Amino acid sequence: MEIRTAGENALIAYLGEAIDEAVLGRVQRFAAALAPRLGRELTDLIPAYHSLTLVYHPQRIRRSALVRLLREIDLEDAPPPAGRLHELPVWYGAPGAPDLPRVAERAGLSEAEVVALHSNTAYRVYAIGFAPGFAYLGLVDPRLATPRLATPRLRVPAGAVGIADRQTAVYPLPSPGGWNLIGRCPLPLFDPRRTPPTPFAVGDRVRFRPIGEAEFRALGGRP
Amino acid sequence: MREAGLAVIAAGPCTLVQDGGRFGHFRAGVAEGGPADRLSFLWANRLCGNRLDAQALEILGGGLVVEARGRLQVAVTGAPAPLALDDRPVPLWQSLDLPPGGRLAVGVARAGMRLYLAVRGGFRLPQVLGSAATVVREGLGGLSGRPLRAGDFLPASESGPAPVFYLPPERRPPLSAAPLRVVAGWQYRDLPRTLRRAFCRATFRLSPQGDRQGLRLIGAALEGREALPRAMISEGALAGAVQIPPDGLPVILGPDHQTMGGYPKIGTLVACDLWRLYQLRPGTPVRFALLSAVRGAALTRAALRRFEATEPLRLR
Repeated sequence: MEIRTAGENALIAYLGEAIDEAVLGRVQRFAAALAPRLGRELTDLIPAYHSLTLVYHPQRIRRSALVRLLREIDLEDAPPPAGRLHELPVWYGAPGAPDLPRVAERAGLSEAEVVALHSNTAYRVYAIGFAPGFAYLGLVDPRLATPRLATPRLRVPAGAVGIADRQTAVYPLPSPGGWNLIGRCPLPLFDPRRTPPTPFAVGDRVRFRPIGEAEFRALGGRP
Repeated sequence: MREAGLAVIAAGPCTLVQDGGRFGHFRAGVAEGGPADRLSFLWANRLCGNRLDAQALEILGGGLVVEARGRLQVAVTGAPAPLALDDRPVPLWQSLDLPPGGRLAVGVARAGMRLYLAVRGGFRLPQVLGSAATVVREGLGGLSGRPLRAGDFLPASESGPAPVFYLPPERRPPLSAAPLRVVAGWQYRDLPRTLRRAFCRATFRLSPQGDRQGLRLIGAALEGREALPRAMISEGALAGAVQIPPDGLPVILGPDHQTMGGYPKIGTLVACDLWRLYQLRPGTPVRFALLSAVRGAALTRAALRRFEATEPLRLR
């Protein structure tokens, strides 16, 4: 573990050097161990990939005490929390998700094979950011890895499922975006009226389930 | 009886409802928001006898005209601008009684960027995730997550006779372009030495491309940028963080920042300097100075202590 300064009342702990499940497990373990201190010594936490950013109340905990606390967590040998498994229905190739044919062509696969490959893995949530509720999921089968668009689209519809390199994600809200869009999920993934506003936590797993237009509509999706 | 509050006659280029901020939702990708110039915001609330995190307006550049429904007390602070009540000039940094139907007009700021308008008792808009702070990008808080428009109504409470306070000019937080103090951190050690040195020597200018999400700087690209770390794994990002993208021109994250970023960061601005920075106009020359976290925390603490220790004059 390497602890660095992230501001006058913030630290960042680096818990590995790569994007992989073992490193993410350590990030999850640290985030879980520190969660009870949120709203007390800690204002907020950002777990992501290989690091954990911590913002603290300087009046409630000294920087040196927080560093000590992190080192103690490092010595514990607990397994990471299991995290929840979310199943997200996806209408692959839906209107507004025009890149399925291109992803298939690039991979030398049929569209059905792309759908099968994309939906047969339980992905990990490696980070949440970019936009509220936007979960970075990985890792996608190397055959489906597709670089981001050279020019991002100005508007991607809410629920669009995209691929960028070996990551996949669902856009919770309409936004600009450069990922390759292969489908759409009808479920709301960011609801500010709820706390927490997103169902995902870093370390959770997400599996996609192919659906058709009828089920997409039945679940509240609007094509 | 009609509800008390302020009717918006003209909204100006971008007027937003803000409160103390939306804390504890970084893990959902939601930034804290809140006032860009926190000291002026705190003063507006204090002059109205409010809780210091009460809902108030952040007015970009001026141009707001409001009309009182019911008897209200308000105060306007921040960037110097003409202020008039029913066409008669009235002072900034002072509690003002608005009679029913009284029309308050904020002119165009002569210097600085943002004004704050508080009302006694605070505005009463619904909270989203524990705050009414407006984030336009995500459509959160305020009035449907958007800037004010003519015709909007901001509910507040009628105010009985209340003390009137005035903060004289020499006690106000000054507009200042003194070097911005940055707590060295994040990728600081991984950055080329030439770039770290150049960062402390360079003079940049604030780009007109700046908003509450972040401020861009323009000028000569930092020396040593060719050796910036490539292909970083994305990590957390905070307000005040100073990113160095491949073009060698720093970007400073603001209160509505994204909570993750993939550019190397050299450090994080001290909070009290981020508040000050958000009052500087595009084109203003800016310089940086690096310091430790302990010294940085002491600076913000001192700025807040100065705020607490400064007494406004009581006029009534």
